[in-house]
Amino acid sequence: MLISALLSKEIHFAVALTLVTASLATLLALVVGIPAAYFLSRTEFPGKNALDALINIPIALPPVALGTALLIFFTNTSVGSFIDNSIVRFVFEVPGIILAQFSVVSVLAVRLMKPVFDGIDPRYEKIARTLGQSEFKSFVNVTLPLAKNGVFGAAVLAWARAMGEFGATVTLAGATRFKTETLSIAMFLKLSIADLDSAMAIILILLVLTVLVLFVSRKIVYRGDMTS
Amino acid sequence: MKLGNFALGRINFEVASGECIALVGPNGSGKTTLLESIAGIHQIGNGRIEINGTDVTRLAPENRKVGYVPYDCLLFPHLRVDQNIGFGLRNKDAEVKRQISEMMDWLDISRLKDRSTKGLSAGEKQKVALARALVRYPDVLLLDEPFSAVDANSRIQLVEDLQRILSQARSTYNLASVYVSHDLSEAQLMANQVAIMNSGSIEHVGSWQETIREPKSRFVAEFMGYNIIHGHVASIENGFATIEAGGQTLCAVSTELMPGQDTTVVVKPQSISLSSDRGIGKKSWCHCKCNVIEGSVSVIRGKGSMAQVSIDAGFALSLDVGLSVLEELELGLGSKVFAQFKASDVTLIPAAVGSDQHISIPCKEEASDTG
Repeated sequence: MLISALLSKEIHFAVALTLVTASLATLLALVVGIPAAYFLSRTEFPGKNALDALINIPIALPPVALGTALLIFFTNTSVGSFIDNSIVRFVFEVPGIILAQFSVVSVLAVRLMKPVFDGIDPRYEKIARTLGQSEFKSFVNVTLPLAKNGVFGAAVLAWARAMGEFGATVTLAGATRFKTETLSIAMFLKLSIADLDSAMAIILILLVLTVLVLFVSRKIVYRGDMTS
Repeated sequence: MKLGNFALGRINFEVASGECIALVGPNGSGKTTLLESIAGIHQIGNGRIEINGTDVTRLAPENRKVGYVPYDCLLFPHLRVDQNIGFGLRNKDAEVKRQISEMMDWLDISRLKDRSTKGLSAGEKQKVALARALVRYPDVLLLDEPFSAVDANSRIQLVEDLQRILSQARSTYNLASVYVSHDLSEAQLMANQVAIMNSGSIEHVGSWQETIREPKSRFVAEFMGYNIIHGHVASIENGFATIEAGGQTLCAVSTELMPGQDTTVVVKPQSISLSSDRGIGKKSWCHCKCNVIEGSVSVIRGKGSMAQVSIDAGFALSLDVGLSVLEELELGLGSKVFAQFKASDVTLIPAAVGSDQHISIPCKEEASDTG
């Protein structure tokens, strides 16, 4: 029964959807998180501590609350409704899964990457600038390569977190079979109809994937040359 | 320019093309901050920095044509040695490879080409950092205590190597250089001019000869390790001043002081000779006006084959002597001894000229900011 559940089309769809959405959410989290973490690490400005604390709110907030806030934004505000109706449809659609996962993991990515940038001597960039590199090129050619292991470790952990995201996703994107059915949502749906074999199969898949990514991230992050 | 509570003060000096100036001063005097301001790493609030007649004050570091070698080298750890050297070169074609190779040959580090920077010795790191700065043919080379992390034995060889490299770079393409050090003897080997910094300002600029012969302020004299004595001009006669200090009477050549003035008496340790009696020890001094000061040995501190001896004569006098002199004069703590030095070797600085004095010369590198 477990094998047939593992081979079912619904589980395959959920695995594929989860892999795609979690990867895209992680990619977006890096695109936003790397500059944000670098900015927080390198700049001093009034209210920096307050901003630093505010960034933690999505981590402390239950994902359901985050999903609810997003749902209210897209359904009850004019800007949100305009975006949802005219630009990208998020509510009860696949982009909603990506946005929900992104909202949860981007903050985590910033939190994980800021210490990485803190650990890189900013004087490397200054030296690069005396060697003819612009500020942006110094970042790209010096800081980013030095931070690559730390950034990769953060990406893997963010990806693992996105893979298991449920609360924000189910609230914003709903739980529609073969449409917004990620692994977590599939497990929820299977449990709701007491299909324990399928739920077990999903747990097994999530467990294997999680162990794999955590093992890889541990190997990379703790290789000892994260920032040097 | 202000960094935290530290601000650069009045700074005014010029380095001609092909010349090297040594920037010396105690820790925290602002040497590195000044160097980084010239490199463009810090922006100065007021003042002007010119390189080759161009005002670069507001230019970004990448547009200043400055080579900078920091005290800790800061080689990029993710790049190999040759990649570090070629980092500042725009293209990565065969021409660049030739430039890197030539630079490595010149600095005798070709064997390190494919090495990671992690296993390099302190001296090798310095040479790679120097090659990285020189390969772009900068107009100005800024060296910040390049041998601070090198052990004493390797340092001698490296100082010689750097002297040779800088000398060739100066004559080949008129490289101007600023050499920061807190080691006076090393700085003297590298540069023909010296600028002495104190609390963010340049206290003195001049040739080594002039600086050693006649320190212009009390701070400079103190920094050079000279003996400083507070005194009072009792009389002036035939160009010689009689100074009363610590219950002793000193004689010095003076053309500027007036009787009754307070003065700072500067005596170079190397001008002092020790004797066990009042007779002038050095034959060549017999026809000179000499000071003979009686005192007792208060401190003897071993320094390899030399010893630093401090004498209490109502004021403190310190000098370095060979161990053979200690044995010859049978000097021990409390021993009576006579310190002798010529009147012409004594420099008098009016008491009003303290550590606030600023000496300006027409500027090429100028940074003035009171923060």
